[in-house]
Amino acid sequence: MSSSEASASDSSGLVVVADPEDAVAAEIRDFVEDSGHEAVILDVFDAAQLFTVTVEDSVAVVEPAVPMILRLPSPPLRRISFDAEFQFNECLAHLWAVAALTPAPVINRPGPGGLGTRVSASAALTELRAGLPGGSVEVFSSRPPEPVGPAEAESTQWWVQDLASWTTVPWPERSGGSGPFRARWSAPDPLFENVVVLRDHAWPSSAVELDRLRLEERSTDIVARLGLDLAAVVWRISPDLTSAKPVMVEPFPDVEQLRMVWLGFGPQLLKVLFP
Amino acid sequence: MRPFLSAAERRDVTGRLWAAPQQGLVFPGAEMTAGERRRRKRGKDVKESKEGKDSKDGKESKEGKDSKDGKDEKEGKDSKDYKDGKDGKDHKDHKDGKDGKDHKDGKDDKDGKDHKDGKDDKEGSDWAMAPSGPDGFVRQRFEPAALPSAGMPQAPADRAHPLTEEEETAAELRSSRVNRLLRGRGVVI
Repeated sequence: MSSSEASASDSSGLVVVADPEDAVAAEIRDFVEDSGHEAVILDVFDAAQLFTVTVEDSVAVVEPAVPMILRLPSPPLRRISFDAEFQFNECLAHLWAVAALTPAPVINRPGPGGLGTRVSASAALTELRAGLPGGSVEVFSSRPPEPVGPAEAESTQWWVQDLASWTTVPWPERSGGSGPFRARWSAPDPLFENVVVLRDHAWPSSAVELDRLRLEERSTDIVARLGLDLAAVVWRISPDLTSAKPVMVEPFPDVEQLRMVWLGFGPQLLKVLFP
Repeated sequence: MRPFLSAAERRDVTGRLWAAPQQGLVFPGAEMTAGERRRRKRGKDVKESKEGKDSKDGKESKEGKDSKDGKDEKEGKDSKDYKDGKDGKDHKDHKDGKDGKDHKDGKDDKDGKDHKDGKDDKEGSDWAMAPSGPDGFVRQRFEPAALPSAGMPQAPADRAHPLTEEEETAAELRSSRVNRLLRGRGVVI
């Protein structure tokens, strides 16, 4: 059967667009293959060459229409080659169109506004986009910023994060890094829970009973408002367990986060990819 | 620069995806390549290692870190950041050839190296300046060293009263794998 004769319903293969050594991509590929479907991991260049987008009678047609998961590796921060960057951006633009237009399932499908998600490097901005009440003040600076604004409730410690190394230390300690830096109020000894969301399903990572906080329901709500299919929401739990505040939304959960919930997440992922 | 896939390579990927056996249907050319057999075997080995384990206990990552560590910055010290433009060059000029250079032949890259051959720049000064564009990429992740704790409550030598249910639950959550994982990477703020 040639590619032009096959339809989306006949395809049983998954394309994961990721760095070939991405641990999550490898885990998903192996799991999908073990379930009886085919799966490949392609980098941006190879994936872009796999697909064709044509417009017929004002209708965009993507071929082949196969399910996709996008875990795009970030390009080099410094340009090494004009040609390499041009080729990368051309492939990225094509993949954006493919993933946005294909009728096949796409995990974290990009929208018309861009390839990126609505999750920002700024937690405060992400909270706004998710429709959450304003949280603690957040500061970005080239140097470790001093505490700004009043502390809130149990958030009495000013934490400073080095964005180069992701090291976070309590003020006035210094990480020793060169920054840049991001800082925010939090608890002196915060307590966390991680919830992985896949569309309308959510799985807390720990087995601790926290039903009254409704973390699964709140996490699916946040992820939906951010326009995502898959994400991990990190919650900071108050010491008395009476309240929880989302502190981070990760649109590309890592392999450790997913493995903790794989018993529920894995089968649901197959249902989403191969309905 | 990454070469484009040949037509034969592209057909092979498409054919493999679409030629997968479905519900009793067998398509011609669906035989697995050696690479596919190796991957299938590796997948089975991984699956066998997973058997018998409760996934909620979590598994140790093979390398302990995200696969993207430091790989994006291959050769940064000598190559020019055209976006800065502070060297006075008008990068649009390459089309006009005003300075006589053909930027597309890679000659502006002093080392002339393909970026995949370069070394990681871990100095941090330029690499640390994350772009402010849309957050649509897998973030590079590093595993920081053990962090100092601020105000970590010390377990009392002896308790005058038993723990409340909330305190027990909080202690259980604190000792959970996900908390240790997140705290080990740095307090999430």
